[in-house]
Amino acid sequence: MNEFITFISEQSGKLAEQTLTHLGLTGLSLLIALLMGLPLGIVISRYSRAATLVLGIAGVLQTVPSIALLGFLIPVLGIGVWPAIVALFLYALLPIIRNTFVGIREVSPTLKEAALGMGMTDWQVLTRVELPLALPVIFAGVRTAAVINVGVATLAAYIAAGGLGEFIFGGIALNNVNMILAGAIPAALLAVLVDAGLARLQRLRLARFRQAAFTFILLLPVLSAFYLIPGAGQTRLLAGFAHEFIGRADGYPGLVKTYGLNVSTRLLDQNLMYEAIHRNQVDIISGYSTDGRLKAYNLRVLDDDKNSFPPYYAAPVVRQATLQKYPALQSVLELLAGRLTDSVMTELNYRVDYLHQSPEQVATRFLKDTGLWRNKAPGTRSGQLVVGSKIFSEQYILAEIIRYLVEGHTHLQVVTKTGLGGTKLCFDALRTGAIDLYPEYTGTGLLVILQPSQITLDSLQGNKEAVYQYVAHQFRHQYGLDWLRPLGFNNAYALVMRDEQAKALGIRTISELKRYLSHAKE
Amino acid sequence: MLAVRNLTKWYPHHTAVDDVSFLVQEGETLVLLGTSGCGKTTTLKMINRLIEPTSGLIELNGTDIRRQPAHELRRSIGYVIQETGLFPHYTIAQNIAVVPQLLGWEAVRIRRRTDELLAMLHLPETSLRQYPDQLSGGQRQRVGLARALAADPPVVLMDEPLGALDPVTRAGIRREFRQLDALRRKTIVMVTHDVQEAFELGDRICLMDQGRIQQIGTPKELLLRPANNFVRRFFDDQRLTLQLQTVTLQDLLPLLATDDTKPPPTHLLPIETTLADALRATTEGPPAFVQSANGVVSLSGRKLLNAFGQWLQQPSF
Repeated sequence: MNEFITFISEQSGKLAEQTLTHLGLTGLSLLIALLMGLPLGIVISRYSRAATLVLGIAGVLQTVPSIALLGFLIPVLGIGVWPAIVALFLYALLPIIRNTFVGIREVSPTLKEAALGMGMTDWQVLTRVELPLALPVIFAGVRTAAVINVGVATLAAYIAAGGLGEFIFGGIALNNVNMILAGAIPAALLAVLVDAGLARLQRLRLARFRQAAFTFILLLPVLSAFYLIPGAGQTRLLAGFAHEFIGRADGYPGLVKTYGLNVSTRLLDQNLMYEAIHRNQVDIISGYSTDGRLKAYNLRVLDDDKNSFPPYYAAPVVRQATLQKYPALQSVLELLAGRLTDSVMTELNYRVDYLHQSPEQVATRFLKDTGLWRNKAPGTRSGQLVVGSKIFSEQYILAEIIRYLVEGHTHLQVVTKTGLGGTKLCFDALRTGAIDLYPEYTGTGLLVILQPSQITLDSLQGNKEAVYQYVAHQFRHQYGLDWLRPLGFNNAYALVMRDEQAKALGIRTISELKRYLSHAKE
Repeated sequence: MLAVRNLTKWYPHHTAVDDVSFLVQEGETLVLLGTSGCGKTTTLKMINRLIEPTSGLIELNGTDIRRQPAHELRRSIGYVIQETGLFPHYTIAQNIAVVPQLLGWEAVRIRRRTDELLAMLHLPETSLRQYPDQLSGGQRQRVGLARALAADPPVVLMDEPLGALDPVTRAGIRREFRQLDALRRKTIVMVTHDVQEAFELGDRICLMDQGRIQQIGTPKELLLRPANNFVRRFFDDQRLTLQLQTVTLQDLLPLLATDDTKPPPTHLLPIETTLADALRATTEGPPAFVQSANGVVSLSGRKLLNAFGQWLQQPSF
């Protein structure tokens, strides 16, 4: 609790900025949705044939999962504010259109006829009778849209649009509960406050409510203005870094310490980074040294000439209970030890990320090529093994390799739980027994999960073998989890640039990047 | 004068109004009477163009009503509808002012007219700032009428104006409406399915069935000289009540014996008093009399019913 309060007070400036950004994102998208949805709702209340179509489309948009919608928008709009606002706008659209439509439709036909019979024109019927009477229903739609948007806006952090999601996803990536709460609590509070505030408006008597609703709508652009695009102190090169990379001591802070690097950064989802650099949205990203997209997009890994990034050797981490239950399992899994070298892994990643082969295909092919493939024995399966993976291609491939290997060599039934959103999720799932094993990296285990003191870290000195021994020992005694022998490749962090640009600027190493940046600022 | 000529309205699967023609003189009240679905409301709504006819012509003071935009036409025709159709988000004052405002009247003029209407329709001053749901049914009905009369239109259309009221309130409001000078001068077309209402408020009644006019004429004509079996059967249920309301002392006068009693002038009943009212007068108050050409006739229940019996025997009816 105290730690949480300390964290909040330390980060209060950032928290306030994120809250305002969050409000701004919500407000701006809501405003656009109103400007678009209200007229659309009015039009379809007049032409009922269009109604089914428009409501159908808006309804389908609503059901697209928010993260998928962002994914669709990246190729079209790139990263940053606009795709976030477009996504939020699309989500806000349905409640507004539908409630406008329903609100107008529900005005009694007798009243509409009375209004016409008095001699009102169609426009006068709309503005003097239908809209005022539909206003409470329309406003209820705005309220729904606002609350949805406050919630969905947390995802904006995935695509460098900021908001309270920065803390939430940063916290998940870094296994930092205080950070998660510092984002989640204000986001929840914001939703509750927005909802309660709008509900209060709704309870006002009609005449006053109309004034209040009008004021609210006028206020939206002001709210939207909270969204200030972060642009101060920009260097000529823009970096897009994953949350995890920015927060972790061995990530960006390590670079700052070792190289004195200082570059304008945007927070980006690690899966969107490659797309973003490929589309020239950013110039530097925090990639992984075995990522297949390096090859696909012709990207260059900058040489870590001062050894800032610690080693990240991958190995399956398994519950001890599972190993005891199925004694044959360990030897089967260790058939893989050392087989997946850096180049093998990059090739496998490339096939999935760029050639769009499925992880199953790639895994099968790898096992066949290495002679480890065995057809699944017929007959009933004697037990179940749950394999987890994080949410990137390499982990999907590893999970599939493990599945085919284990199913071929044992009588276990393997279930995969892929796409777990971060180290913390995988680790917690493993500890609670929701999964039996997942591939982890030595550096991650050390820095994210164990978080040892600086003295311990210094004593390990980024040594591959020392780190592995330390991590394996600590996991066994603290958590009852076993690290099996490393698979072979070192998937360390890497600073990545477009090869073309790196060549043009003469940057091959991180030191050269640092030199270029300091020079460019002057 | 309102002239409806060969008005027809077809819908895809039925004919709602079939070749309907009638004239309404200035200051006259014509009641469109019939069961639901007979086409009376459709006919009414074609007069203010809420429904456009398939064929036929409507002329107001000799001009085709299609000559001007629909909304302008409607501003010159008062419209009273069932369940009042008052706007729930407008105060009573705003509701009454709807048409004057559409016509662009100045605020002072609207205010003066509103006060006039309040006094005329016995609505309390305090109701002006209230909303329709705060008023009683009878009051709302009066506001509905006030709204229709606000711009003093020469023609008023009424669609089941008292339909939403209970029978007691209804009879009361009906009596009030009948006594309103403002309404007597108007050309009124009123739709109802209530025979009593038609007989009380209509100068002439147009009885419709299946989109066609079955008979058009004064209440007495419909009652006593039905054009066909439909018309005859339509009034069967209430024939006696309607006759008592339709037959006047004037009709019975030839059948009443004159006597020499000198009546105090206060108890002299007017000659157009209906039989129903005359009977009420003889049973409730002091002895009543009526003036005939030959002298004064004293009235009693027995004498009146006797004369009524003979009158019904007359071969002409």
